[in-house]
Amino acid sequence: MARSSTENMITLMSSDGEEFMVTEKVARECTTIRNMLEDDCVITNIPLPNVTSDILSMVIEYCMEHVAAAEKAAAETAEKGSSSAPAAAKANKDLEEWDKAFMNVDVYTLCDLILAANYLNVSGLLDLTIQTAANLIKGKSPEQIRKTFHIQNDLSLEEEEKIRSQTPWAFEKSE
Amino acid sequence: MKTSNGSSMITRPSNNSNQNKPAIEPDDDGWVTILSRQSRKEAKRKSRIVQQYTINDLPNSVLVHILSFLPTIQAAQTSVLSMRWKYLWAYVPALIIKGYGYNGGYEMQKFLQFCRSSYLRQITLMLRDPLVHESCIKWVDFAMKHKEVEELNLQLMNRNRFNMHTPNSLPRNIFSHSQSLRVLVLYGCELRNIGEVDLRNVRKLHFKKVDVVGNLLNDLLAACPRAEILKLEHSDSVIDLSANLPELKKLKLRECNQMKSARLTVPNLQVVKIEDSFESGIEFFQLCGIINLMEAYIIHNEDGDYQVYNGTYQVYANLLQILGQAKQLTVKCSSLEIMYNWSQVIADCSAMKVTNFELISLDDCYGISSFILALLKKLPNLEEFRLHKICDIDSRNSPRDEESSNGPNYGTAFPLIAYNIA
Repeated sequence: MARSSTENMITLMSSDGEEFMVTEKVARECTTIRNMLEDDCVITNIPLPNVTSDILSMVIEYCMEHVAAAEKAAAETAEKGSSSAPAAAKANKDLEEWDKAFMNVDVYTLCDLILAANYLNVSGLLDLTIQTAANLIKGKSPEQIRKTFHIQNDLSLEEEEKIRSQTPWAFEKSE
Repeated sequence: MKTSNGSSMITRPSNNSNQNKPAIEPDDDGWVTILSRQSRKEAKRKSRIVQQYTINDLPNSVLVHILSFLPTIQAAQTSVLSMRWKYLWAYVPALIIKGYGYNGGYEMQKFLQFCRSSYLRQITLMLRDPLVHESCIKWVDFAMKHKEVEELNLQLMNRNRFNMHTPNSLPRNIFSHSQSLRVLVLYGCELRNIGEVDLRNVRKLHFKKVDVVGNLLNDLLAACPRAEILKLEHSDSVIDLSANLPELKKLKLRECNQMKSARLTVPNLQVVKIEDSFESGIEFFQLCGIINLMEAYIIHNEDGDYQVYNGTYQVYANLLQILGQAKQLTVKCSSLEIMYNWSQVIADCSAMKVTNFELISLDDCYGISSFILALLKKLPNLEEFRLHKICDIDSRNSPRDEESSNGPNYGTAFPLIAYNIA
């Protein structure tokens, strides 16, 4: 992506010390960073002790893609004077496809991404990842959910039985 | 759902790693040495940071957010996953029950009793068992008055749709204190006497198979001044539609066959979609004050007795004159006859702003090419012209071409033709 040299660059540092140079526009996609920038506008180096480098690079990838898509749409609107509806619909669909492909990750990475999106407050990414997690749970039995998400069952049989008997309507049909 | 509580939960282990960072070289061997010096418990926590988090490490707010996308019954099932999950589902501010209960009437009632005490933002009830409808409506009435519900999606379906229609009448004053409501979806309900209505913050309205008495719908719409989306489907009881919706952006009318007149003041309308409507012939259709209409759709999916189109030509001409202000106009027809009728009207409204025009036919269109050429001359601002599933174009002699009648691609031989006017 060609960018003008006048644009502010910001360095994001992951928990394992890796540095990522991004444009201010991309960094502003993260509400947490945007707030930092608004509080103190000369900041150029931001340590992110909660995010590892591999996850941070994914978050940046997501932000860049969405910033680029928004810029493209804006440029088209400026060029034509008005946005053409089919073109906008196609761009939206492309971005959705991209999101879908982006969400093709294992559950560990997914959980890391949710945490990072939650911490950095990237609302689009948080919605996307949470929806993906919900889709992974949907339609599965508790046993299947434990398996999918590697959840250790620390309830004794009696405890589990007790919980089930408290909400019988939730279990009567699936059993 | 993004609370500071959430982020503080993940700060703890990572802050740790930050403090230790000077001691740790980001190098595999470095990790191993340090880990070996730690106590086992510490090491386990550290390794988690180096490795990855699992779903149990997510903050409660995020887990509840995830659960809010699930049907309530399944959300409740997660209570047995592990200790961590035992009570999480009870914090979900959404009640979503879909298709529950041919046999669960009693449990259903008990459950609704239980929900009386919980915290709710969103209610989605899709119920097929008429036995629970009544108790359910009572409960919704209670919830609407005592909880700050933001989204109500009430779909009460009768199992046999060929049965005599027995709509469920909504109680009087159900929406009298609904300032918090933002989304209202009603399906299979009857509006007979709803008393006072206060829906001042509703943004999205969707009515399907709703029976209204007299002009009740208009009264209801008058109480929704901030509506942005209005969908009206399968509502034959709506005869006269009249409303002033200054913030409306999208309007969809589908199978509103008995509608005789529509008079809407909608200055900010951007998208209008009219699908299989006005079968009995509309007499008056007016959208007032439109400034910036972007997309308009006229769609006919089913065959029917379309004699009426000739009879109400002037109404359709007026309709198209309005829809012709759109930048993009899409016409989809099931037969050539209708297409001709519509297109004739389009051709007569030559002062249109249409820049993108799309014609979709579900049937064969013989000899339409000369007609299309004539039509194009009538659209002075056209930039893009699309045809879907139309076989008889100049280059083809017969629509029953062998190539096109083979296989599933039939009729899509010309899926897209972009026509640029110099």
